[in-house]
Amino acid sequence: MKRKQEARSSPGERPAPLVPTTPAYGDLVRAAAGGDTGAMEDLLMWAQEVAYRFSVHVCGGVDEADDVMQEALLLTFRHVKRVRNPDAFRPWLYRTVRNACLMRRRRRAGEPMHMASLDELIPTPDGLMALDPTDPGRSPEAALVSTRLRRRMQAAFRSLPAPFRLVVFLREMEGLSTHEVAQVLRISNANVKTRLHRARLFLRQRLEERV
Amino acid sequence: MTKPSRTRHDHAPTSHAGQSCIDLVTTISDYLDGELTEEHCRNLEAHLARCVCCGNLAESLRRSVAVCRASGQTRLPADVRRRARNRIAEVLTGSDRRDGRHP
Repeated sequence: MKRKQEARSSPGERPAPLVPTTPAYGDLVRAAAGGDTGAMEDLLMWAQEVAYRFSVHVCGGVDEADDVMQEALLLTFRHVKRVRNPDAFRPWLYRTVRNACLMRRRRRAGEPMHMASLDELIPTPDGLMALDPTDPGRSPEAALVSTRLRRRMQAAFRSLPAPFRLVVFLREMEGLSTHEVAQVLRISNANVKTRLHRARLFLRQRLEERV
Repeated sequence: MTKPSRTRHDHAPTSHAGQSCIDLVTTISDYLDGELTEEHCRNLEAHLARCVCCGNLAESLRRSVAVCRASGQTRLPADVRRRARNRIAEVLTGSDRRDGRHP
């Protein structure tokens, strides 16, 4: 029987599991499909945010993020009206965004790839940034992570082979469950876990050796 | 680019209660995610309490996962968000026109 570990309340007790919190996307999809305009707007913004992050973190194509966002928006808008299982919408969205990214990457095969640097993702006193991590909803743990540590993590993340990088992005950064990642990538749950564990060991080793 | 090793471990395998470090270390990710059974949890925790190397590995894995998750917490920059909102408005307006809500 699977169990949920309780939050750590005092030293020596079992640490709280690293379970990402995920909003109730199924409810949002149901509301949007039911004609709630506000829910539809939120859903379409969410789809574009996913497309942007995927473009930047996985495909490394900041330049083409707008195109992928546009595609995610239109496909989501069409799909949501005929969705049968709202709870399965999330894996569908990531699969759709992934396919859009892959298609664009194939089209520009041979072109030099531009991977976003963490310098572009982190606010600087004088410069523009591609992403704004000063999210008011950011956890205190996230706020404590220094710029230097983020740079090291990005270098480690980018050095992961693509299949591992995808799993880490979906599971760790986007907070999908093991089962959802398996649905997106069309691999088994066991395969997701194996890739994730190996990727974590790899990232941890890279972080430690650079200290 | 090197591929992540399957069960790479930083020290020679030792054994506790019939299970080697390498056997147990493969379950640390499930442990961190709260996906181990109660029995496996107890076995692993007993091992982590006795084996300094595995205990350190579990703790450093937890830290690196936390850093990785924090690194992914980002929002759209203002100009990209503005374009995203414009696109949404265009799609919804177009839909209203097609549905006959706006002549």
